[in-house]
Amino acid sequence: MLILKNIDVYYGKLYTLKKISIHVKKGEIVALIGSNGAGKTTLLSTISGLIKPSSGSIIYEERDITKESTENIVKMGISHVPEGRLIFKTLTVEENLLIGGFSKYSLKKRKEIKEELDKIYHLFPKLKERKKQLAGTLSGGEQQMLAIGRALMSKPKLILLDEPSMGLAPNIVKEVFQHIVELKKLYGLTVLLVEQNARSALKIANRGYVIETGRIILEGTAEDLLSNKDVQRAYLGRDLDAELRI
Amino acid sequence: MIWDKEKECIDREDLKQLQLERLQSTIQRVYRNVPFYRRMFDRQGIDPDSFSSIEDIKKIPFTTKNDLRENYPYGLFAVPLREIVRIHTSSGTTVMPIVFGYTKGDLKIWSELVARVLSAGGITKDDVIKIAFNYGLFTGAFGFHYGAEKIGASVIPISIENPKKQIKIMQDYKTTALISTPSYALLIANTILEMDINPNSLSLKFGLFGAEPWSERMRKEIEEKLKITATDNYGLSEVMGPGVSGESLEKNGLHINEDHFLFEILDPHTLEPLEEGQTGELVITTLTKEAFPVLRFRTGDLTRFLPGQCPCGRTLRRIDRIMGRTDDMIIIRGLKIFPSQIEAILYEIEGKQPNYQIILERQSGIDSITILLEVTEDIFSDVMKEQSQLINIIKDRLSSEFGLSFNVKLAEKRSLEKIDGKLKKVIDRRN
Repeated sequence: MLILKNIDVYYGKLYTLKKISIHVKKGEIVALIGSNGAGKTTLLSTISGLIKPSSGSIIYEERDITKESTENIVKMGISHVPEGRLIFKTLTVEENLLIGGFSKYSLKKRKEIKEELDKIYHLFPKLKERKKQLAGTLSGGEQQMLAIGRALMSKPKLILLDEPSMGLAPNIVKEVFQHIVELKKLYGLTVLLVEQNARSALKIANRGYVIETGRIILEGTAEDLLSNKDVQRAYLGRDLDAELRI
Repeated sequence: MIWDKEKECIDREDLKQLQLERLQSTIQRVYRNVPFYRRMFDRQGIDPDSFSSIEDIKKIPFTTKNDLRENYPYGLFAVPLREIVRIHTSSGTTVMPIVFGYTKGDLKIWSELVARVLSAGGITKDDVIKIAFNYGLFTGAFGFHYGAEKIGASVIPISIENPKKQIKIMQDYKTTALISTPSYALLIANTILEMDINPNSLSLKFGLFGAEPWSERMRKEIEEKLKITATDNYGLSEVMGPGVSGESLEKNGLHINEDHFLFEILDPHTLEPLEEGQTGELVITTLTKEAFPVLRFRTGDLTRFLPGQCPCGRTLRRIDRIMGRTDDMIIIRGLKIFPSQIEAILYEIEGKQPNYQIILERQSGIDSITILLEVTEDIFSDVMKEQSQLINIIKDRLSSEFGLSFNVKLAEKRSLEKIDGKLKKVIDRRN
């Protein structure tokens, strides 16, 4: 569904991504894990067209989208849920969702919009309860769900999720991740997920890549990555030496 | 049965992408973690970030058996020793062995790949498998053992036992599959015949043979004598062990597990890539190994890529059975000849596995080739005429096959020159 080949991205003279090649198959949840500054967010932004790579190619459903505008990329079915959610706090929950649908619907198509909203409210009942509330009054977890709901309004086939667990309490993280699995089931969505919280991400993913200083250093099934000692030490917060002493 | 349909029947374009991703990440890991490769890259001015296609692999110098030896014991490990959960070594008796390490992840992939090869050879969870390889430092026995357990078959780790005991167990335990070298299978087959046991009374159905070169003829002989379907498989400890490649029941070449290994076949002299169908030296790069990755390892084994799609449905590319070692390849008057080709002809004429030696000599600039054939009771005949007749038959067959004249001499039993107790098939006295 999505194939990146040899993507290089530079900020000025410094490169942030170096020969990145990854792929995401239809219906997969793929996790991209790595520490702060490894290039995860840059990679997602490159896919959604916010940053242009200096070389390499991005193929989405057999079309080269390397040079496409973000607007067109969204229309083709790729939706990006940015890091830190970036919801409009002074608008209501429902207004936020409607903004997400603007590329898909003219305001005249009220019926379709209503149907889409209902689907999202069905998935996230809490958003329905608070649809008239200002988004800024939601809890962190609810804001995350709103950001995801807003991305769904453009009826994407592929959703890019940037650090959905950021700043959330562990039990809320769990809930958000459960929703991501449901999305895949209910909407037949394909998910590319960027996470520092490697354990949660790999638990729901089919496959994963480990990115370090702008390069992919490991690819494998989520299960294999979870049991990989390098991944455990660097990203799962396990101190192996401490465990050995016990 | 196909063990992992998603991977074994993968779309070739998807495979290319996967191989590129895995090659790139392997190079990153190897460059970061293995001083030998870091030095190699730095010395040659190779940028580890400069690999944008599989073909770029040509930039990397070869890794030889000698490189592996010089880094004895742990020099080439890409992970700290405490992450190693298994160690095997090569069977070097006179030289330094090579030490191979495996992480937990490596073992998991290893058994997965062996499961593919076993399934391709007909094995299912209902089989009772006898693994007749030595359990020890050699990778063969343990490799197959864990793969067979993964499938869920009943594994009998019999190891190398005397053939009579093997046969008793085969009868009593109703063994359905045999894993061994082809020559060992033949030994068992012949013992069964000697003991006057009807092979049809055994439950044996499948045999997966490897770890030494063998011929199509030998396959037929084993199949007929044991009443089984015999498939070939190939692997080597330097890149993992068994599980690298194996035949399906179509018996038309060995499917390579290309999502984990990158195969190149090169001219052994120019080291340039050969076209599909041409025989040359196999060079392997590992794509997923964690503990002991190798880049462009020269196997010294001779084979060729086979064209076309296999009817079994697997899309993974196939190689032909291993034809021998590069050290054994004979180049005489510009012709390439493999001992296995000569062996096949001798076998055809004699009707059994021949003991022979090929001697190459040069006299006043002209190369000559002589076959020393060890006399067996069958050949041995007091009548000189019969002997010279046999020699002529062999000479004629060989020269019509290769377009080259051969000398053929009979040698007394056990008179052929041995090195380290092993019969050397080719002795080159030209230099």
